[in-house]
Amino acid sequence: MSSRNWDRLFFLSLLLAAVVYLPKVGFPDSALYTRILFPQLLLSTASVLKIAFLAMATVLAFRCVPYFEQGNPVRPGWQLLGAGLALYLMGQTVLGVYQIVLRIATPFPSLADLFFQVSMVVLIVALVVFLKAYSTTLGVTLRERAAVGVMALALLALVGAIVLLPIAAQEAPAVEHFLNFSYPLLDCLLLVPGLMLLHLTAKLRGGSLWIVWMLLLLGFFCVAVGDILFAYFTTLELVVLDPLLDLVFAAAYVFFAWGTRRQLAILEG
Amino acid sequence: MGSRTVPSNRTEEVRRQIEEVLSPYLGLRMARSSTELHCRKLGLSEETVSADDVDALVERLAKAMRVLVGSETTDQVVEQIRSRVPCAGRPSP
Repeated sequence: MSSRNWDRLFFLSLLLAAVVYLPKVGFPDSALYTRILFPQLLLSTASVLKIAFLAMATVLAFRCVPYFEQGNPVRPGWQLLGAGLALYLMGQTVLGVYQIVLRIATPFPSLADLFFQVSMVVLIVALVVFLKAYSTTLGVTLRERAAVGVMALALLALVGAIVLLPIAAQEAPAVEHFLNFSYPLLDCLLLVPGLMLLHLTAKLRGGSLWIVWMLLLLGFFCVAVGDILFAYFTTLELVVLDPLLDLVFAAAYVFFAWGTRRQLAILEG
Repeated sequence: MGSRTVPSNRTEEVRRQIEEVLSPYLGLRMARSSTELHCRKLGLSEETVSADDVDALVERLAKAMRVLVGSETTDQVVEQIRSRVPCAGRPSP
């Protein structure tokens, strides 16, 4: 399939997800969502598609690795990105088993949360590796990096405080409380190198590499925003906004697949 | 034995050719600033460059490109530059 057709596929997938999920926020009890796109159908289809896009992103990330020779400072970044996405895929697959096979509400916590949490740590390290390799290559000074890093930390500390304080105030079983806290915390930590990479890769504006990183970083931001909103909505019991979460997570996986596909296209020449 | 001279050896023209090859990947701004940076680091004249200067410049840019686009695409980029800037990469007589 040509690059243009891949772009069309990803764009249409995002559009379809938006068209399906957004109206559900306002009209959850309408005939469309109770008789046609009834909950189990929507859940199962979405789960399969999320797993498919995550699997695609995982395979494509690992396929990028051999194009960077041993000793290339960015090679570990692609390996870690692949590993992080693979762990995320395993978590999503566990959710899929509950949603599609067992057709019961996913318990919280579950094995999926273990995979998601480990995956976040791996993805944070991946972003740091990319940041270091690209900073050196693109001639970004340590001073500039530090300035952006401090700004990113300050912003995320503010966001973290706003999100985490209500969560901390809620009473819940210890493990659940820990996870509700650690998810947004890890996401804020993910966003620090994410924001720094956003600033760095903005220097590549107009080139094909910039598009790769815009897509990948959109994926990371969607994951982080989705997790933070999940913790917030769950704590405040705002279940009516669940379709929004589904859309944000689905979009994240599409962006990951799209970005890795674009990178592979560059590497294949 | 003197350095070979690139047929169109004006530094500005050589830089422009290199920027045109790099900009689809890096964007024009980064292609321009990378080329300028490496020209400055190599101490290249603002007026003319020798073929050896061009080789050194291409080598530095290729090292950076390998981190961004991998070895295969970098080799293609180097070939494109050599086809636009004659004499670059040819062994010294």
